Amino acid sequence: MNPERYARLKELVLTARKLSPEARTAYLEREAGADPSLRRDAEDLLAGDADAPDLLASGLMAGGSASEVFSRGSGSLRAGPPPERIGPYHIVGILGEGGMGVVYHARQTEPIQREVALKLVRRGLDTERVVARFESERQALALMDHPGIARVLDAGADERGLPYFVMELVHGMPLVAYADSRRLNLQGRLQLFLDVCRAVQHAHQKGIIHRDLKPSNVLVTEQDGKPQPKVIDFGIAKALEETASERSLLTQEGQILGTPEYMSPEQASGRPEGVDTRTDVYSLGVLLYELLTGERPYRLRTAALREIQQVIAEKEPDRPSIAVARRDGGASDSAGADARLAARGTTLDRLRRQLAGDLDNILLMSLRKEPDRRYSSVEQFAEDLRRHLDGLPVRARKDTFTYRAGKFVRRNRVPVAAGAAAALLLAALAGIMAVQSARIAQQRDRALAAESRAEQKATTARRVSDFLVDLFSVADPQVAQGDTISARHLLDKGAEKIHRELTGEPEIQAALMTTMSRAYSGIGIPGRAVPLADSALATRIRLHGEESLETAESRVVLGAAHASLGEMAEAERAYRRGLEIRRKLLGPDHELIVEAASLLALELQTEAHFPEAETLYREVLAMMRRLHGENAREVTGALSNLGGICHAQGKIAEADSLLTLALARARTDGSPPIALADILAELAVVLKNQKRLDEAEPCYREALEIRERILGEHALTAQSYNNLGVFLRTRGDEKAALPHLRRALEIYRRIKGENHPDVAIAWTNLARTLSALKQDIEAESTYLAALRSADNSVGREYWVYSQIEHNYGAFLCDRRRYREAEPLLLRSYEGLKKGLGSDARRTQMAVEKIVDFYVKTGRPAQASRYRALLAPPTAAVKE
Amino acid sequence: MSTEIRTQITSLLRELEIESTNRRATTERLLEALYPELRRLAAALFRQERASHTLEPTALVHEAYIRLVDQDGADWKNRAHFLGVSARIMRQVLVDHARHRLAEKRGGGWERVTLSDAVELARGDDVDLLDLEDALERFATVDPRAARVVELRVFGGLTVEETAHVLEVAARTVDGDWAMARMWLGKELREDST
Repeated sequence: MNPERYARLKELVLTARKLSPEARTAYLEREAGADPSLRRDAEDLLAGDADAPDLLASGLMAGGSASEVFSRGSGSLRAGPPPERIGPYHIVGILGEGGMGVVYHARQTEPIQREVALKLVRRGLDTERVVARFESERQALALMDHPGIARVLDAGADERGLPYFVMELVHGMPLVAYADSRRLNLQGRLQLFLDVCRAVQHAHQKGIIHRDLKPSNVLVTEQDGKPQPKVIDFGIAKALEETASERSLLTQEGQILGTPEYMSPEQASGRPEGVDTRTDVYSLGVLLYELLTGERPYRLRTAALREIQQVIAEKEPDRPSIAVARRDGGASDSAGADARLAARGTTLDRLRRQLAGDLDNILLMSLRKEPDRRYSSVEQFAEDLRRHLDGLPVRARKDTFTYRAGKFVRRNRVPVAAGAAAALLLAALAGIMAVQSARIAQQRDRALAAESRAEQKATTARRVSDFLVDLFSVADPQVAQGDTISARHLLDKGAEKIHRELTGEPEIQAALMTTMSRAYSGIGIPGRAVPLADSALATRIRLHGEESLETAESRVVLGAAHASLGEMAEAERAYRRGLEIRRKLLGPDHELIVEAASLLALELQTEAHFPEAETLYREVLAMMRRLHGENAREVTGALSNLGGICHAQGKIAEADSLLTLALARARTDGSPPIALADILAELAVVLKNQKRLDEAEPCYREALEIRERILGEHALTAQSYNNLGVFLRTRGDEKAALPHLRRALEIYRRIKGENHPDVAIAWTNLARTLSALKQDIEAESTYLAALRSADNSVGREYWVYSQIEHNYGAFLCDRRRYREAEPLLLRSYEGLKKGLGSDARRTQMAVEKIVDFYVKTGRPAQASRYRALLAPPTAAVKE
Repeated sequence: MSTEIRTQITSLLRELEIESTNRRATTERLLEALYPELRRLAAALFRQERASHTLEPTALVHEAYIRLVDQDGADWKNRAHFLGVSARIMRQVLVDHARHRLAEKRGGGWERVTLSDAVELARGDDVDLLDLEDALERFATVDPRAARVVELRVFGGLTVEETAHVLEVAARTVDGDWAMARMWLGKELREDST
């Protein structure tokens, strides 16, 4: 059989098997009447279809998405043969199965005789409450009387205590499948959809919100050859609402069951109180989107709860006119796209033209994240569609650029001063820069922001902002064609423009390149940041000479670019040179010296060159006191940094007093909450190291609370989750630690990718906790993931790798896998010694473990050799 | 079962989840690592075989999964990949064995392979493995993806969702392929037996 013929046959058969016998015959007649052999093949195949509903039709549930698969892993989805009766209803057969349970074809005999559909909810729900809720809605439901609404008749519990709902029996096909099988064109689809709107509107007038509108809940029947959509399941979602989180989201495994694609942002975020008629507007929007384009507004490629919530809450849907042209799934997908077009009796170009403009805008308006910005009623939504059909202007407008830019900036949590466009755009860039991933990077940025202010004072500032305004306005139409602002797109555009248009103005070109370089570092594309900073530096050396403030600035920015690439040596070199020049030109006290010194100190701290970093921090503190006075916030920040570096060197008492002082000052001197959180986070660890656990815990929690509130999904938040998790583990509460550590890892992986030292460390912490919980298999694979991540990021020479290696070795040792453990323990000790010094706490702990290892394996000579490497007990116990 | 093998398999499975680039190579390595283990498991079962004994490939693969990976730490995606690779091996092992027995002309010694309840390719009847194999090979030339769906579900016991994950397609697609394959193969097998 040739491929085209097979594809055609498959399509025919898969559609036909969902139809009732009569509808099937009609369908095959219509589709394959002209090709008797094709028709015969299809009928042959269908004859052997064990699943075809031979009693009746109805795609009730059967048409529901297959991702509604109810139970996983146990093989058969069937819960056995259908029971003979449920409550007072005789079961005739199965109509379908879905995420919620089974739908039976049933017969009622008392008080009247009629055929009904009975939906048995298979979940472990609180049946009494579900039924009680239904009872309280029953009167309202009874008020609904509309040909487009399937009546819900009854609810109860079966013998096993599972709740069920009894509904009017509908012989029909799910909305989208129906439209496709009838090859309805755009207009036909809109008319059909308007019928659905009328039904939903009727329910809204009676005070009933559906809450779970999706194609499988809209069945289309034909009456006198005319399609009649019927909305089913009214009142059911509400009755199940108390358990909405269990219903839609299986939080335990972090997997979503059901069809989250139709869920509104207010539902996805678990705010049932935010549900009103506009929730149905949203779901209708999703439904229309799919009806018109054949695609859903989002492609949820994951089953992870947080990710789905995030997509629904944040991702802007593609414009429908763009979505229809999406072909990213290879051959099968493009075949799917062709089928979609064929089902609409149109071509891609034509469909795109029809959708572009009004329909794009109408759909996107119905799908807005904030209920207040959607159509306020189904009536309005339908009205706009009718206006479109009548060729009248519609109410829906594109999101304005200002709105989207504003939202972009808000998402990046930077306060935006209202005012000129330039201010907004600069703030947007600052916003880009603020999306930072590590504390060090954040501090680096804070320092760079000061520089940005200085730069604005420079003569080129005006020209720079003009350029940016221009850049954004150029980019706007492009942006409008796509869906969201892509910071990267703007920057690429800008970088290109700088190269192209400003060759005659090297000074401005260099200034802009410097700005762009910072922005690239900020959005996490440091690879582009380095060349820009490099060429800015070359230009400035040429124009201003080596010893100029401009050149120094470019060096500092270049350092920051290298630093975000993790190129520590290059970063250090660039910072040093910048600092040197600034000292010479501006000394002794200047904000720009503070900046370069702080950046260099941070870099040195990252490289574990603690003493020099400490010297620099002390210098910065003194400078801050002279520049700003003893009570200034800047001094608080410097105290906190100094506390941090003391801590890093094990000077616990000094760190404690510095940080305690900084904390007290920060609470009253108006330091930003984020700075407060930094201090709390550091102090928490200091307290923990002094075994003052009861004092440490509130610090961890307050730091986490602030970061979660202000930063959301951010490396610092992850750090707080991580630290609290590790803390709980050291307190012996591994069970409580586990979710925090998993969350930390999740955030790190998302924002840093797989190969990053922080990710490696997060894996390691998780591994240690799993190992303590005796979940050895996962622990081991987690250690391996940690090593891989560390190897691919910092490499095997860095002490972080050695530390992970050590932990893995210790894990193996504790499981008596001595042969595997030995080389790991020895190698990691060498690495730690090289990276941190032989007296460092970590190195000492590695030695202790080796001693322990040789004692356990009965090699006393080796044990004592290593015991000799241990520092004297007094010094080994760090305060 | 040596620890190294377990460690290796666990780590390969994790790689499959983490890395999107080298999937094919990683899958190959997983296949290589698993093949001897699965053969050994199957052989142990073959040795115990009695006339009345029925062999369920999916049970065997699941047992292998428990022995080789241990349920404790791995998640369902790891499991899906494991079963996905095992399905291919299992099919190979079973078919080899069946052909071998046939060649030995010890007819009747080889029990029928029972495909799991969820599968039921031909109504009611157990399917003869070699008949299925022939039909499946023919079907693969017409609809390779659907044939792979059958392999995964029949020999690996994967659910729709797991199959979708392994093949990187929508569950809906798997549903369609599965339905089509069942009709197609059912028809072929019915024709064979008449």
